[in-house]
Amino acid sequence: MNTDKIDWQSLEFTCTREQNPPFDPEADHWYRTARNYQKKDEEAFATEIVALYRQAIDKNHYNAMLRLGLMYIQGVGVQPDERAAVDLAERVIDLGVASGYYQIGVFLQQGIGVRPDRAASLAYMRKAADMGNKEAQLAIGKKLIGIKEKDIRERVAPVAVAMLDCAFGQGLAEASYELAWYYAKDTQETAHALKAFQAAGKLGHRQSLYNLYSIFNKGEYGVDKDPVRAACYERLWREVKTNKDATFPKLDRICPLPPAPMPKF
Amino acid sequence: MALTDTTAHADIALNSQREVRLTMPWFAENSKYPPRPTNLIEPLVNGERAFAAVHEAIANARTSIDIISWGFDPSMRLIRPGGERLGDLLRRKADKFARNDGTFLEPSVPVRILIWKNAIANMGENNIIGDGLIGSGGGTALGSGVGGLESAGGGAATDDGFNAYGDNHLNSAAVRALDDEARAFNRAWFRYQPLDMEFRTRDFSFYDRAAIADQQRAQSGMAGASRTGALAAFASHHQKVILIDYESPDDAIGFVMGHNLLRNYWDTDSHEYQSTVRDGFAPWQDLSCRVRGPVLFDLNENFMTAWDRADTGRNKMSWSEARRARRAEDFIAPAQRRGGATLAQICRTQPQENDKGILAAYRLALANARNYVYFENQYFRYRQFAELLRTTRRRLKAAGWRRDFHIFVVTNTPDDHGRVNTYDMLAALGQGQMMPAMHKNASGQRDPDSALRTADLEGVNIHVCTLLASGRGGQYKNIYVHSKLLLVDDVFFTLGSANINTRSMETDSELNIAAPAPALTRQWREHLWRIHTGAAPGEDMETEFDRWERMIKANASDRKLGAALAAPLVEFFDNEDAWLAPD
Repeated sequence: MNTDKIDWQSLEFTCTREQNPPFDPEADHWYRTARNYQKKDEEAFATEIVALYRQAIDKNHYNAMLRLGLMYIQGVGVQPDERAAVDLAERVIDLGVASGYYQIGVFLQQGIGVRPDRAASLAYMRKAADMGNKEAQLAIGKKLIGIKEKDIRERVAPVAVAMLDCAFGQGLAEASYELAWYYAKDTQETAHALKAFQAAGKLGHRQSLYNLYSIFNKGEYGVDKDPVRAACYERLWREVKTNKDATFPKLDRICPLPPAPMPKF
Repeated sequence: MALTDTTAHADIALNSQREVRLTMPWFAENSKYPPRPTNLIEPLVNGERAFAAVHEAIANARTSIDIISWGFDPSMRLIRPGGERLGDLLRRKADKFARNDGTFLEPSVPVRILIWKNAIANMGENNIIGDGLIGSGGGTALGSGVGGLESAGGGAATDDGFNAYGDNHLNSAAVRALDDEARAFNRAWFRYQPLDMEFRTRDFSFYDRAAIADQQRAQSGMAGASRTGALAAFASHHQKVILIDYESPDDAIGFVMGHNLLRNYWDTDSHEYQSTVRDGFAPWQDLSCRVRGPVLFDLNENFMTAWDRADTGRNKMSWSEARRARRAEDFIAPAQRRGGATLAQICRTQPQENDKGILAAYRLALANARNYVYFENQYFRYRQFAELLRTTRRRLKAAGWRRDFHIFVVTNTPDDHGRVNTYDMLAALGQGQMMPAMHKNASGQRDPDSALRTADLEGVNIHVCTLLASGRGGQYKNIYVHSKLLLVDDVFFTLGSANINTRSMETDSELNIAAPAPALTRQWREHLWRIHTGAAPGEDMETEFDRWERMIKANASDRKLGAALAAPLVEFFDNEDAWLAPD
């Protein structure tokens, strides 16, 4: 691969946090009501949910736009209409909100309401990432880390790490999870990997807790088998399975990473 | 697609007992054949096992051998290395003057072989090796022996979702260009047939095709005009069934198969990257089963009808009185004696009889799912199932079901799956560029048979995977998944010839066996998940889901780094992202 033609500089990334206009309070109340209905029984309350989202959308509630768009794609409460979802995501963009760009990026990637176009998808995701959207930062970070050509991958790795760090800094646990795998397999820096899994685990990231359990249970990546520590993570992993919103801000005290000893209760 | 309504009313008399056991209904009502009791079903995972069982059954046959398949290669060997060629085995059984080891004449066994053939489709893919176009002698319609090393019956679908068995010129089932001996064998085999063997091909008549086209059009919002035409034009007979010694219930055996009788279908569980015993063909994952019991009656009905329908006017053989006299009940005791205890149903897609029993069985099974669903299928392209799964899950959640259900899929990736090369990707990722134009689709529904996207499966816990064999030095090869299996909840399974696409569910002829059989379902899952994930699976699906995730992630890294994979499981949607679903 001719790497001379690659514009490395344009790949550079500066971490930005997403900042959006505040919601109109009434619109947000409608939005939250709709979300509650949706979590209870999306099908039974479909009409109410759609109506509430539409009201919120009239007051420029951009999350309502995205949510209604998803209902159009799945055909819940409305006739399936992927084009309508695209139009709604464009309205989000018109409001200057980064998540609109990300959503369009996903639509272009998978051919939802638009002709699939992977290159265009990447451009939209990049724009969203630069505007601070954490999902876009995660998506691009993953793609850069996933490059097959070793020399290129190693060269762009700092950009990928920067994006993942930025996303995690905004609370996206999965970004730390991706970093953990990168450290575990690519650079073989086990200590960094464990720390990254731990950081995600604090936010209740189930798969990270499972990995910590598994690593200490089997003794992988050069880590000593540690059944007590493994059991600690397993307990928390089971807790997240039943309570999806659980977080463990005190994880470093409950299940500390080595060399810290396990607490005695 | 709506959930099948499973509301039922039953009167229970409590004067003689106080306990009643209720089960979910697993047998679809609008299916030609009824459920049958006391069957014995034995899973046969991969060609080495399946073909060895078939070979044994044929070799020991005494009263009849009946074969339906989509493809047929008499030069192939069922047992390897060094086994007898299938054509020789069949001819020896049908030969009136064949001798056994002790030089006694063995009575000949009537052999009937019924294979799908469509002259037009044959232009591209020769599924009958050695049989020329409309009996002209040898090779494909394009000339004898034309075709490369590509496998038969395994073409990846084009991106618009149309899995054309016959329209890919490069996808020929012809014998290896170097194997002159096999080619000559096949030509000779088709030219000479013993008196007690008859070979017929079957197809859909013009009338049949028109009827299929009408059915497709009548379904609102389904395939568009060109798709309807293509489905009708290339409707194929996809069933794969073998029936041995039907006249003699004590000995009768059947096979309901995913395997075709083609040489590239042979492989072992280990799916080696390189394998001489596979004749150089790619690794192949496929499933069949052996059956005894009253389902044989239905397998026979299907066979006799199909055979008679393919009548060429020059009948060599007729049905014996013994065969006509058989009833389903005759097969109960012989199966029971061998431990048969499974209630099972033969279900089909049979457009000529307006039978969509397989679709009905799938719909019912998916609506019943509470714990997990496992699809191992060559194609995973029937969008209605994605909707059905989402609906099932939604209903469960709304009804307060605490546990989530999990879906596991093992299938094939389409060819390049929309990959952008690294250079183009980096170019597109530059900052500060103008947003490129996008081409919006018109309003309205999408094509139901196109490839599923991550988006279609959003909201359900699902792993969609494919299988990869590792060679030395960072080399990888797809293990082609040809299986057609559904498992639900360690309770129900269905196996056979039906793919998850419109063709198999609606317009081709297909045959599956379906059974609510916890032990068997468990057996399938334990075997298959062990070979795919490298470790014996547990019972808790949430644990299994996370274990799969870990294996997939580790394999993705290993593949990128050029290391050997710990197990064949890799992710299908590895370059697709989740859409934003705000809190």
